[in-house]
Amino acid sequence: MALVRVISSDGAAFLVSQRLAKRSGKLKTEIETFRKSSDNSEAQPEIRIVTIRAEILRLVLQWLQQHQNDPVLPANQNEQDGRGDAEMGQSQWDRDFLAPMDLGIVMELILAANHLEVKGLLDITCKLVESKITGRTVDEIRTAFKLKSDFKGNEEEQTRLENRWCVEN
Amino acid sequence: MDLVTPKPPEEILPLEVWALILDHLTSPFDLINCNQTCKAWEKILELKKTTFLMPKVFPILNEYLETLEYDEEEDEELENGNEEREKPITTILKMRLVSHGWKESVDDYHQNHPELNDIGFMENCDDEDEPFTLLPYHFDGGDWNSVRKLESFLGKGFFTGSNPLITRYVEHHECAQNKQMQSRFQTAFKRFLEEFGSQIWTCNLLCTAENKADFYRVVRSYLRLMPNLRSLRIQISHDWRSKEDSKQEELKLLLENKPLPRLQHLRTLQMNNIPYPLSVGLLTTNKQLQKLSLQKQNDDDDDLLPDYVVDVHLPNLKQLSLICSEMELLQLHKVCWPIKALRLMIPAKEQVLKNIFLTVSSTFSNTLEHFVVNRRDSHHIEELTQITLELPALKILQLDTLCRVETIDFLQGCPALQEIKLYLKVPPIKEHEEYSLNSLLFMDEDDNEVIKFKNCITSMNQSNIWRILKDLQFIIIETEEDKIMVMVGVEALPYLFFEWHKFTRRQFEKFSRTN
Repeated sequence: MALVRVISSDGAAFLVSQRLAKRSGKLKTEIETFRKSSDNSEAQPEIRIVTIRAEILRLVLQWLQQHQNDPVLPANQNEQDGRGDAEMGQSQWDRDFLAPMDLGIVMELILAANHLEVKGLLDITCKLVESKITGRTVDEIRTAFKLKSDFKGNEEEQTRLENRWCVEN
Repeated sequence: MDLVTPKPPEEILPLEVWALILDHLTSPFDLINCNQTCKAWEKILELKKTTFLMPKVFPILNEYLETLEYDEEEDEELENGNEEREKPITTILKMRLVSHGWKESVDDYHQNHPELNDIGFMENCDDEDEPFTLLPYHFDGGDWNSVRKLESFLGKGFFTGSNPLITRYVEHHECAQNKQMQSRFQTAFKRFLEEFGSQIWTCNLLCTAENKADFYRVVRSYLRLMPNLRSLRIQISHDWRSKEDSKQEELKLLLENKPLPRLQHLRTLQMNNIPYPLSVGLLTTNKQLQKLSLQKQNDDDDDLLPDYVVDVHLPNLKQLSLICSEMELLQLHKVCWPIKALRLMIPAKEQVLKNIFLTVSSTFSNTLEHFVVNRRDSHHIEELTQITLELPALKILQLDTLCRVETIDFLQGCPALQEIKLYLKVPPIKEHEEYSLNSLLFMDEDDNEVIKFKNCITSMNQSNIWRILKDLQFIIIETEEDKIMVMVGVEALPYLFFEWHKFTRRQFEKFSRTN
């Protein structure tokens, strides 16, 4: 089985099958570039991902492993058939996978999935974050994301005024 | 204390004290810098991740919300009556109320949205069909309601010096029906600029004036109040030629005695029909410009590229976009700007392409990487015979004008080409008939280095174009019938017929891999 070494920003190496890695658009391109530039066709590609730390990279690979037999989702689903696939892609496994995660980690996963071009993971993580904002009050959002209001004086009131003008305008 | 030798933070202060200090940071941009400074700070700032990741996450989330809106429209069509979902604009505005960091993330995205500043290659910088992007602050002096809207903004109670403009993008359309309305609108707009002008980064000015001197004075008074402009689009809305105009000497004096302010952050400038002396004033005071778009509507308006452009040095100019007549296009040789991208909107009827190719080849041969030609009349056919194009640095060529060519050997003068798009006149393709372009376009002469499209339907991948243009990734040939003949790169399949608008480059690549 052809393997590839994927190395995180903090130096942890993950040895995964190329078949699995190629389900990430970014890794697929990197493997193909390596192939073209390497004289030895048997050489094992090594890919350094400087923006993703080990804990997050492990989660992405874990998700890919679970979904390795899913059909590959188009990069932009709307161009294909006009329909979103967030619901379609979300299984009980996905829900259990995301459930224990802090929203800060989920946001890191969004960035990682976006960078590595893993459409299915990007969809479910965006959906989770969106669900914690849409339809909630500002206080509920602060609680969910462990944020406190840091507006001083009448800054918050000023922001409300700006927002109101945007809608009236 | 030795502050020069790098030390771990705990040797400088206890970590609890660092935690107290870092807790005061609210800007996500400061926080992300600190987070990347050292492991100890990274640990302390772990809980602030939902703040400092937001500037990077927001654009992705924004795109996701957009697809939800798209889906919702589809659902409505299908089911007619879904439970009402919160509108994306509501979600975005609510996010601004959560914390400083989130507000900064949302505003940063909208203020730096690249589409707003890329006017050189876009027809409009204000896409009002975009359901989701925050619209610019639009002030329209066309009726009393609009004048009152502007006055009401001033009465909202925003603090002077604060920035109430989320997008920092203001549109000013002054097309008043009478003098009284115009005067009141101008007064209110100046008051608005006095309070918030320094917050504006992008401005679309449509002004009225009776003559060139008045136009210059009005625009100058506005620009003096917008010192931080990055992108400016300026148009004149009134037919000033019908009025008595000042003499050229007087206009020159006006330019010297009342110079325009230098807008040190201005990178993008679009001038539509702008007369002397404002046109020359804007170009000579803003040498740092990177993108410039010039448009002329009527033949008797001032020249777009008058003689003085020879002396206008724009050493940083990268993109130039011109919409003008044939005469103007042939004046291109006057400019000595090191542009990398050139877009020309050519006249509807004339046969101009051959001469343009000559002018562009001799003027920009060292720098030009991206060359686009559009035509106002998409049905006019340009006959291209014995043409040459010598642009050794050119990577992208896009001719969106219907051409009839005998051969595309002229591409040999552009050996660095990566992408080619041509719009060609070919006989109609009948249903179920495979049509070969080679008999019409490309001479199959001996075996010399001529770009050949030997039977492109079945063996495009064997054409010598891939050998002659070594960096070529794909070539697209569009025909009149709204169908596209796509011929993709070396690994590629021989042909595909598609409707153009549905397919992006990425999809071409995907097709080339999967087929």
